[in-house]
Amino acid sequence: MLDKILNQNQKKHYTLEQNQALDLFVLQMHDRDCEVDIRIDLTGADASVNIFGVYFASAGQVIRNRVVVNHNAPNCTSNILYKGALLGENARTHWDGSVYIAENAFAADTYEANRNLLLSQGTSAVSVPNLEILTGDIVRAGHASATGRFDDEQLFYLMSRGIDAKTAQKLIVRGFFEEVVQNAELEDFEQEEILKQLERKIDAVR
Amino acid sequence: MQYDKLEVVDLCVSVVDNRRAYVHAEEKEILKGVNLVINRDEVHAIMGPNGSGKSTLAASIAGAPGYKITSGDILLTLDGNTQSILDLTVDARARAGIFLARQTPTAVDGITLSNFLRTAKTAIDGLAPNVCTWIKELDAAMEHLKMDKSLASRSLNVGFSGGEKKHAEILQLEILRPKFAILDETDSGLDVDALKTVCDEINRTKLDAKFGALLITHYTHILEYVEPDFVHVFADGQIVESGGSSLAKKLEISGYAEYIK
Ligand SMILES: Nc1ncnc2c1ncn2[C@@H]1O[C@H](COP(=O)(O)OP(=O)(O)O)[C@@H](O)[C@H]1O
Ligand SMILES: [Mg+2]
Repeated sequence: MLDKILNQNQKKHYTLEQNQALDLFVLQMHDRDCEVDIRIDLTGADASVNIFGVYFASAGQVIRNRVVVNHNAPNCTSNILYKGALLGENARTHWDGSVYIAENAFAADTYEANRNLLLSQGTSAVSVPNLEILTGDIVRAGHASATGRFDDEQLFYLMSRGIDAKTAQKLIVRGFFEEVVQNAELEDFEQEEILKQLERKIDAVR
Repeated sequence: MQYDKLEVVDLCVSVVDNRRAYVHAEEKEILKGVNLVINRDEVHAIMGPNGSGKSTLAASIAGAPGYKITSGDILLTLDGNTQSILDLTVDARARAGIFLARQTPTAVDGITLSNFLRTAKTAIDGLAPNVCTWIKELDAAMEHLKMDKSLASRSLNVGFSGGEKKHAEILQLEILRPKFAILDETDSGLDVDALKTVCDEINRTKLDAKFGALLITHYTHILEYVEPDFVHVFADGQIVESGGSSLAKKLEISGYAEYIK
């Protein structure tokens, strides 16, 4: 099963039965405030979910994400990766991801990660990954959160090969999102569209 | 007609320790009056102890962040016109023909080496390379350098070995054909065979592009393959002695001890 939440406020709850698999893609790349709230219950054995998110907050914009995944059956897998960029005064993002692994959810395999790229001063990215494990039998359980400033050395490297600042910045930001855009089950035209929106966001500055 | 040349005039440079910039910007003077003239097609070697400021000189010419020029100038003469490059942005300097291969090339996720090269080539030449010949050109250059072709579709320098990064820098040199090439310790981390391959490629490109070269190195080995016209000894932020290639031989035997206070 494949589902996409594209540029809209949304609150969604999915229940996955035995052997069901869900691929979910969340995009927040328009210019309004946006809030997406997702809850996944893995209630049948061998159910699995992949969630990929891409967001970009411009000046004054607030983007919120909440993800809850409940492992309530054995052998379930969950994979969560959100990447976000922030550019402009008072661009704010808030990411909250929780994975709960119940006592009977043996052989759980879960990984959640949120990475943010701060492209300017005056931005704020809050990232709260949370993992609760109640079983002793785990295949993998990990979470990661990283927020970094735009790397001047990368910008310098590209520019030192003749590439102008704006193009270089776009290449680096595209590169940052590449991992998510590639991994999500997207059509080529959708990938292109996302990258175009990304460039528009960067072009809007200055 | 006057030769194209790159001229460093009484250059003084401080570094701003960016790790402490938030607390209190501490400036430390690294270059203390450097003078150097590199004509097109000449090879200059700079040798000197660690920490003497060689990389700072290279970085200042290319316009790297974190370096502050406190006095002096860097002049570029092309087709008889001389201009200071200090006011030029980094990309404008590159388009004017300056190329720097840094000691430790930066890695960038999500941009393939081949995409990077094509974008850079387009920027430097002012038009996109011919689609039909481009792939052949890139293939040939990688073959000269005995590079694994799969590197072209990998993210720029991400997970490349030290040697692969150095090869990738020289690949860029060959593709972009600058007028002045600054190669900062390109030889370090290369074994003897790889060093020979890389140097052959530097020489081949130079034959055609006729760039002036500034080779920064610790070892005389690279200078056996890329013959310098001038050798400069760098110590404590200055050039303290200049000579011909025989100076390199002398340094190989006696080291830098006499230059260090
Ligand atoms: N960003 C920086 N912050 C503080 N010190 C620096 C910085 N960059 C270089 N230095 C210092 O400047 C001096 C010269 O460094 P460098 O130019 O790399 O020398 P070399 O290339 O000759 O080994 C060294 O003492 C080094 O520690
Ligand atoms: Mg150095």
